[in-house]
Formats: sequence, structure tokens, C-alpha cells
Amino acid sequence: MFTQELDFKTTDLNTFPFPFRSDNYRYSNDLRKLEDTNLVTITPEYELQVRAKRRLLDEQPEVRYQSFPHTMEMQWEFLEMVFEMAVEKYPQHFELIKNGDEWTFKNNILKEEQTFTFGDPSTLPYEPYDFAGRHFHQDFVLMVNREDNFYLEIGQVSYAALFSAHWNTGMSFDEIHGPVPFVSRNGDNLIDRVRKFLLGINPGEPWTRINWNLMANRWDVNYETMDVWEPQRSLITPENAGKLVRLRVEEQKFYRMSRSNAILFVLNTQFLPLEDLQLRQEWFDLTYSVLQDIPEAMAEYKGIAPYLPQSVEYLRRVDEKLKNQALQTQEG
Amino acid sequence: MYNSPVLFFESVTLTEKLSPKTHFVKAAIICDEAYKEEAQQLQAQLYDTPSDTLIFENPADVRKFIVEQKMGTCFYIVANWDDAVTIFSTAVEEGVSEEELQVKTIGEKRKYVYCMKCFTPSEIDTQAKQVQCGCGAHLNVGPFYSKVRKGYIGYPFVPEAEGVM
Ligand code: HEM
Ligand SMILES: [Zn+2]
Repeated sequence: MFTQELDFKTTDLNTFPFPFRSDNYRYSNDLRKLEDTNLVTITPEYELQVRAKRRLLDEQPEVRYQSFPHTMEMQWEFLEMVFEMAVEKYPQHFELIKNGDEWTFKNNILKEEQTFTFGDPSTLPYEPYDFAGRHFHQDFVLMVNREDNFYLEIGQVSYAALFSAHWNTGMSFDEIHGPVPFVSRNGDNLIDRVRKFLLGINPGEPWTRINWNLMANRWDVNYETMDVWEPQRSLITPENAGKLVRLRVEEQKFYRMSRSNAILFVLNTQFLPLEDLQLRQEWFDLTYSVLQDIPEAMAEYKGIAPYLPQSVEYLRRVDEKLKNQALQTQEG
Repeated sequence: MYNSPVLFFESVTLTEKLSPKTHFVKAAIICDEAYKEEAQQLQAQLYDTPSDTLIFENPADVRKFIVEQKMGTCFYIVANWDDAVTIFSTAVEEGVSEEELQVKTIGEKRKYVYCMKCFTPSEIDTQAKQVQCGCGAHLNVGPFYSKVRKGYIGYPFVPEAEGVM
């Protein structure tokens, strides 16, 4: 399958959202205020990731994109927001020309141009949300606020792990998180707390957090393909873990939409092979320490239990080698 | 609405034994002819709360019966699975919430698994942990239900890889 041959990793480490801030990891309400509130980012892998995302959307439209018919107005709100952000941050790459309701969007990186009538979906090749999302490498999920919960009413999801737009469509925030052993360090259930926190998010003041996982020689880990990737996990050994196991990180952003009041959930997924952690000693040390201390329920949920020990053993061997080298340098 | 309540295997409204819910001014009981006795037992426990009973025959009568009830009525359903589903969904369509409902089904319940390979729901044995879908995929039956997809999640697996033949 083509989709797994896509072999990319973050090459500009300054753009890698490294997830760990201390030497052990537990679930918590780890939302922080987002500083750069513009969600558009152009990384060296932008084009590769956008093209792979579009291929997935075309090959598996039902898996990767879901929307309810009543969401059309929210879709235009999303399109306007991301296109304006793109133009504001990267005027050299993107242009938006508005002539009344006749709009033209230009993506100069991909050398594409589309003229359409704002508010008239028949003037676009895809639904407005789908169309706009195809110009950026992130996943976009719209959670509509009804009473005191949020419901997934639009999803364009190609990269997020264990996230099926098809399966999760129409579910509440609580239903979506049903599979997560979502308890804090002192055993509190976090679902209610986090949902209440999201209810308090205001337009113009987005929040962010980083989710992480590992992956074994594969970047698409979804429920739809579980029969394929589950058995592959047993191929990992301490000898090949450096190359085959990747730290898989989702930088998540949460925006309150001002017109629809929905929460836009944006996920930027990036990958780094374990062997590249050595490029930043601090990242290596934190990851080595965190992975040694993952609670069983979390490892099971994340699907990493079968190759976590091999990954830790790989890191232990590297650590030993690095320490010996340092010692020799000192002695020499 | 896509997120309206539906009656499924582990619905919160399902109970083994009907018992009066508090804070309601009236009880409306809808039951299959065969389970009239259950309705009478519930009535006996209601003491001075007024109640009405409808013997289920067709959805149109159910709708009329529900619409005629006043605010603050709690609905009790006693029926076989298929009739209970019909009565339940009619009630929901008429704006009755799960807080205002209690359901006792008699006989076999029905359970559906949603195949993550071919995206279709199919009925399964309620005890089954692993099943094979019509498309050929082997599925582990998960504990999560989707109202939109109308089934419990079925995670695909390869039997040989799990040591199950
Ligand atoms: C509002 C938008 C959100 C959506 C649509 C969403 C969606 C999801 C989905 C689909 C999963 C995977 C569930 C599965 O395994 O089937 C997940 C996992 C998770 N979510 Fe969320 N989420 C949202 C917000 C949040 C927030 C605000 C937090 C925390 C503050 C959070 C914390 C988590 C955690 C800890 C996991 C487990 C991930 C892991 O350990 O790999 N989520 N979420
Ligand atoms: Zn199937």
C-alpha cells in the first residue's frame, strides 16, 4: 500500500513539537495558552505532507472526511478563518482576493488557484471545509457546542493516531474519549474537567497541548487497519528500534469559532525516529526516562505495549554508549 | 437529530425491573399485550401517582398516546426487543428524553457490531467477543457504541496472528 511507503520525518528540529517537559508522563489537563495564534505553518515537509493527505482523502474519502449536511455555514466560517491566517502569515505563499462574494485563493507553493463564490458550495470542487483543509498539512476537526458538550460534526483526519473520522462522527467529547484511560496522577477522572475547561475557551484565545505516541514501522495507526499494524509490532527488536520506532507527536490547538461557537480542533502530526533523538541530548534523556515509566494501562491503550521494552532497551544501549564515549573523552 | 438517544444493548434506560422514577407527576405505561402483568405490578408501586396504560399495537397509536400526555410524565415501556425499539424511537421523536424513560425488554436483546473494514453493522450473538463479518473480516467486539453507526466497534484482526484459528 502506497500510504505506508511515505517515509518522512521532521528535518527542521526547531519545528518538532517535542512532547515531554519532565521525566515522567501521566495524563493531565495539560492545556496551555497558545502563543502564536496563527495555525498555519510551513515546514520543510509541508508539500510532502499536504500531498500525502490529499491522496488519503481521495483514496479513502469515507474514512478521512465526514460532515453533516447542516454544517455548511460553519464550513465557510472555517474556510475564511484559515485562508485569512495563511495570507496574513505567509503573503509570499498565499493570496486571497475578495471581490464582493467572488473570492480567489492562490496557493503559490502548490501553484494552485481557485475562484469561487463565498457561500455557494457548488463553486468549489469539494465541500468548503474539505477544500480549505486540503491546503494545509494539519487535521481539522470541528466540535459543535450543544448544551454543555461538544459533538464531532466535521472531521478531516489523515494523520492523527487512533482517530477515525468515520467512527467518531457525531460523537460527544465524552463518547470520543471513552477508550482513553483518562485518569490523572492522583486517580481523578479527567473527562469532565477537560470538557468544562473547553467550554470556557473564548474566541481569539486559543489553547494548545501536545499528545504523543510511538509507532512501529508505520505511520498510519488507525482502527480501520488494526489487523495490519497489530502483528507488525512484534517485528521490533532493540537492534532495529532506532530506525523503525518513531516518536509520533500531535501538536493540538483549540480555537473557539466566533460565529458558530464551535471548537476547532487542529492537529499537527510530526514524526521523529528514536535514533534522531540523539540530535538533542535533552530530548534523548527525557524520552528515555519517560518511556521507562509508562503505566501499563497507558501502554496498552496507546498500542505500544508489545514493543515498548525493545524500544527502551535500544535507548539504554545508546545511553550506555554515549556515557562511555563521554568517559573516554574525559580520560583521553 | 443524529445525536438523539437510541435504544441499544447497554442503553442507560434499560432496566431489569421497572420501578417508579421520582419527581414525576404522572406515569404512562406502554406494554405488549403479553406483559400486561408487569404493567400492573408497576402500577401497584406507583401508589397515588396517576397512570395511564396503552397496550402496544402500532406506532401511530403510540404517538397519539405520547402526545396526549402532560408535562412531567414518565414513560415506562415493557415489550419484546423489537417493539421496545419502535416505542422508544417514537417517544424520542416526540421529544421524550432518556430521563423520562424506563425500558424493560422481555426475551432476547439484540446487539450489533460495526465492522471497521467494510463499514456495515450486523447483528451478533449478545455474548460473542469475536465474530466474522459478512465481508470476511474477523472482528474483536469492542465496548464502545456509536449512535450514528448503530453498532459496537468491531476491531479487525488476523486470527493466525492472535493465535486463534
Ligand atoms: C475537543 C476536541 C478533541 C477531540 C475531537 C479529541 C479526540 C480524541 C480522539 C479521537 C482520541 C483517540 C480516542 C480513541 O482511542 O479512540 C483522543 C485521545 C486522547 N485525548 Fe482527545 N480530543 C479532544 C480534546 C482533548 C483535550 C482538550 C485533551 C486534554 C486536555 C485530550 C486528551 C486526550 C488524551 C490524553 C488522549 C489519549 C491519547 C494517547 O494517550 O495517545 N483531548 N482524543
Ligand atoms: Zn465487514
